[in-house]
Amino acid sequence: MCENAHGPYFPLDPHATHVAWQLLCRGLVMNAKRVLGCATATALASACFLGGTPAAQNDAGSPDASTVLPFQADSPFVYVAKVKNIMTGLAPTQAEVDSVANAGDQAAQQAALVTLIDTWMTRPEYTGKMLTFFELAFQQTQITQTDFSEIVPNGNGSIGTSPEANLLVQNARESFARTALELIAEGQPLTSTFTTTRFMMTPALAELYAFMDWNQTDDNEKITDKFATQFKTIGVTVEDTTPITYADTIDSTKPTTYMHWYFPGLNSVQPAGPNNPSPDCQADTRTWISTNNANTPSAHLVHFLLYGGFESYKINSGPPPNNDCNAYQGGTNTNAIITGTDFSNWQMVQVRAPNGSEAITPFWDMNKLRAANDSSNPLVLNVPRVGFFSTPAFHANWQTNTSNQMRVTINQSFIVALGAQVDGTDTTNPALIGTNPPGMDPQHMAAGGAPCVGCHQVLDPSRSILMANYSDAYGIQTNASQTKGEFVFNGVVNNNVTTLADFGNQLATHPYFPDAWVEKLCFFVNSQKCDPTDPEYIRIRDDFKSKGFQWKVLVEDLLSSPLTTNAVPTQTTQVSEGELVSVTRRDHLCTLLNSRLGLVDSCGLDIVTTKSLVGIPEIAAGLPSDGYGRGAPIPVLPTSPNLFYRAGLENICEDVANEIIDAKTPPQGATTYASTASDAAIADFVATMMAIVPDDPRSAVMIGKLTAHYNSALTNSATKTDALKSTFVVACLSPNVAGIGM
Amino acid sequence: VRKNVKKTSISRRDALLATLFGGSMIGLRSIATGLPVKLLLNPKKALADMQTTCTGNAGAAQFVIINTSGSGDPISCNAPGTYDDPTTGIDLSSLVHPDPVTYSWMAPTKMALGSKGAQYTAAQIWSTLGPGTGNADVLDRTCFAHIMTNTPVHPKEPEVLELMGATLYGEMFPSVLAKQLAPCLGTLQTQPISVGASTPSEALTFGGQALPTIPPTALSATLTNATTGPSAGMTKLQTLRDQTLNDMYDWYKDSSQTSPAQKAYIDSMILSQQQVRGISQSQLGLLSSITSNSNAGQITAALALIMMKVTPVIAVHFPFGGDNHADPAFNSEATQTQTGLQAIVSLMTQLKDPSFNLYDNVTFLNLNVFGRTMGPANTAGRQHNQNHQMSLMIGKGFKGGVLGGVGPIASNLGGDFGSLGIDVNSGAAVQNVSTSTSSVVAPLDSLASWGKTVLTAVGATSDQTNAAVSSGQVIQAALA
Repeated sequence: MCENAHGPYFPLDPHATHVAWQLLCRGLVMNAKRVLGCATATALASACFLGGTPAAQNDAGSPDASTVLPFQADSPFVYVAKVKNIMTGLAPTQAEVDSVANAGDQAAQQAALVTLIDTWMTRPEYTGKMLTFFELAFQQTQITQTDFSEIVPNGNGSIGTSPEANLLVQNARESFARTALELIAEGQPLTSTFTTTRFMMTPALAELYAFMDWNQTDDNEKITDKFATQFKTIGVTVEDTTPITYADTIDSTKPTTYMHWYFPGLNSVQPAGPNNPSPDCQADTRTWISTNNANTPSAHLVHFLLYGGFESYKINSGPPPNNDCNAYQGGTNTNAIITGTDFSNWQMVQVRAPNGSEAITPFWDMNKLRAANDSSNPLVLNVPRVGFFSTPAFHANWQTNTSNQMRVTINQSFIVALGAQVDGTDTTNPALIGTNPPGMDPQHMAAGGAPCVGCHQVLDPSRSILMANYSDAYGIQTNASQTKGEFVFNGVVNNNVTTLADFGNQLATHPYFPDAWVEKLCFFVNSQKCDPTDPEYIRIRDDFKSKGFQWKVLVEDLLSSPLTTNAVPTQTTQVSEGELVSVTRRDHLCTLLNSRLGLVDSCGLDIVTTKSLVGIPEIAAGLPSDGYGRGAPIPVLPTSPNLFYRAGLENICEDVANEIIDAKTPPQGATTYASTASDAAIADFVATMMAIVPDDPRSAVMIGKLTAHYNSALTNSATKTDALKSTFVVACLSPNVAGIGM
Repeated sequence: VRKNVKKTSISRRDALLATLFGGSMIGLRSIATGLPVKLLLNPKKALADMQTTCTGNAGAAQFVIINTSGSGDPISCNAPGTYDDPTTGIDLSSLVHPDPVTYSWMAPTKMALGSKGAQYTAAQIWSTLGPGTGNADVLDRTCFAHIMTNTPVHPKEPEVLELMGATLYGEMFPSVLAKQLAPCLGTLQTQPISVGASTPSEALTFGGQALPTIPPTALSATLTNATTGPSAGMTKLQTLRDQTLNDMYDWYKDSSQTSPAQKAYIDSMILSQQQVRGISQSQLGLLSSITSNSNAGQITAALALIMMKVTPVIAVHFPFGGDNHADPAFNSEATQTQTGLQAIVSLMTQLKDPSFNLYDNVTFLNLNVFGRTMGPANTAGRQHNQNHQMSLMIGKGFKGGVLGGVGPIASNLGGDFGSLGIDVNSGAAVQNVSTSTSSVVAPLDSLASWGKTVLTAVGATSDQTNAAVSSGQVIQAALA
């Protein structure tokens, strides 16, 4: 049996010529073992180390090599550092490690760790970590400005191309993760993220929500620009002659200035030139009045004006290359309305449908949008917004079309909410679904036959719920004859699911929910799944269920569990999965650098904040990172430190060293070190960077090795500054920084 | 005891799935993890097939640059074989192409392909690989293979890269190539590298493990060591640092407090450090010239990785129109076909440049998740086409020409136009495969056959090819 097959650890000889082969074998075996269980992986190991190559045989050591590495318990020195790193990026203090190590038996130590976890949860670094986790878990990332081109119609520029548009995209990415955190802070169950109609928004994001309500596309790709209709007679005037206050621009009681936008520098927009030969392209009059050009004023025009740009689309109708002027947005207008804190002031905002003939929220009224909240001043919108699957970011991420018909949307919704997808293995009794469920695409029944039915009888009824609420471009569904559909997914059939709220509720009550989210956290914390049959896993999942799906409970339970700490063996760590030390992927590494060295967004992952460093972001872009793929319930998580990681980390560490060691102008708030106090610096490298507390037996060893390096560097004619920088780089490259669980 | 615990604590869901997939749930495990079914069923053979020495034709080994798109770009829609087909005479006049007046480079143009100089019509831009362009002989080693992937859905991109289940243990084809070629080319690492994946779905795996995507600008910043500026002093201490780190690694490995899992991680760090120090620094200037992740940036990154012998296979993504369901006047298709072809031409030009001299050492491939519909209904965009795509093969191991062709497809099989059979000896399209001989590749076998043909062209033996790809047959007509 697997648990009895623990041979010795597979020793590798780093000087042997087949190190790569051995590691390849081991990686394959470990991967197989995580997935397959013991028997298959054991056979794989035998093949690898016995049958792979003669050289591998010689290097492999034991012919009884096991597929699951022998379990060896980690000490509090190791796991307290791991848990604090995962939660905050910070190193533990001696007192924190002591509080666990000296607590008593294993149960007492676990309880002491929970106390620490509760403390760490209050730190801003934890909020940042959870923000990253939820952005990925709710699949709100992996989008750029261009991904909005289909869901924000009119094509020419979509949400805009200015730098501020990138800020808006980041707002969209963060919004739902912030919403989840806010709901958790309110004490709401995690399932509330499926049903919420309140969303964290910035004023800029609120404008996008409203803008998308005024300007949308139906299933026939017909664009409805309600702004154009409403302002057809009034028009929009853009001028740089007389300053007009924004208050006057949006004041409908002042007809002489209403919808007159002050745009200093208008004449500089699209000047004549080699690439802009058509005079029709040029805003060469000091006042541009939409109705003078046989245009109707568009929602896009005003959206761009709010951002300080000017859209002159429709002025030119020529073929390429003269279509450069079809869309233009420049940052030349110093009178931009959406600026600065409009991208950083977050507020919980209620979104609700109009009552009767109530008007929807005007997207051009930033004063109103800045005051939006979840009580007296909600956003009044026609497009339904309920749960994570209704956000602009999710829609931009998972665009659909006339042939896909929301199948990608429903499948990704299942993956996010329930951790499983439609793949032909659905456990629902076909008799409950019937032969022709509502929303079933008859073409797939007829054309594809049996192989297609398995997926489509689940996908089609369920996606029809979304189709009944949204157009293909995620505008409001105007086709009243659209079949409303039926919820079908893994054992649950409900033909009374009509609205998005119904859909969200159905997801929230589905039996797959708790397992899905325990596993998502397992992947985040341990870079591998937890064995769902492990009694410890079941304890955690059941506690999550019995305590009302409180996220805090799940975090406490899993991060203090031996599933994470490896303090004692579990079925997961000893039998089915084994312990995995993973590479410190990008988000964890960047948080670590920020938290331990007082840097601000060292990797440049947040375009809103001011960066500490300028060289690292390019490297960080190539570091292994967490991601999700279309139709993939399991996240994409590289776990090995390949050569690019090693090379990139070295360059990152050098960049950091230049900023914090003997630096004349270090980043504000950064921890700095002086070569005149090298002993203290080295001690702190070990304690802070490597997260090895002073009483840890490894501390003296590592201080000795770093000190020896520093002295050797001096012996090799390095300056004191370079010697200390190099010593920092060693610490920064150490397994304790580059690996999670060391 | 534990075994009993596992049995009694199995969940209802697992029980149901076991019913569907059999007791071992092999299928589910494969789906869930990306590990191939065959690996689960026969792991011993899986490992036995991995090579550490070059056992193929080393002289034919090639570095491979593979262009792949999970969007299913319409690179297939204006290539030779989609306007006319001198081998079948099928009327293809109803196929829709971008307006040649608006987009002059898409004008139908006759061009001679193959050793017999067969005249095919294609968008004019394809002729830029031919005579009179400074790339006179590229078309002579360019195969336009009309094949099908048998999937119309984007998420199947990883499966298509696994040749839809035809590769041994479901390994991705770029990784199959990499395992074959790495020992022959002596690269630092066996794993392929993607510098162009635009989504995680286009990312590569190796042995079931996800590989990170490294954009060109990141590659440049990652591999370049500073020889001037504030980091120069640290660069000089690199060897000393490696020694200290090796001491650290040794201590961890010798310590009884270090768990086996931690030691395994230490081993992977040792390997990565060895690989980094094995990288030639001779291409620093080339890496430093990368300023963007554009087509040009990806080409430069690929050339640098090849010159430094880091990896045998590099994946790129040159857009050719994207997922163009809504593409009025085929504007995206036309403009990106132009820029995409320009990228291929640029690559070929640089390969020929004496500073690289890689023209005979690099093979360029194209494989997308699916092709796009081409029939007369496609007036303002194209839908997914599971029955057709055109996969390019350009390299010393190939002789120019068109493999197979396209013809109308019955509506119950998806309609529109799809790939036909391929005569393996002549490369000609075959309309009625069911009555043909065994020397014809059926459309459903065309993807696997494409893989086998590529493997053969880069030096794999017949046994290796048959072991690596379980179905299909080598299209001899493609081989030089």
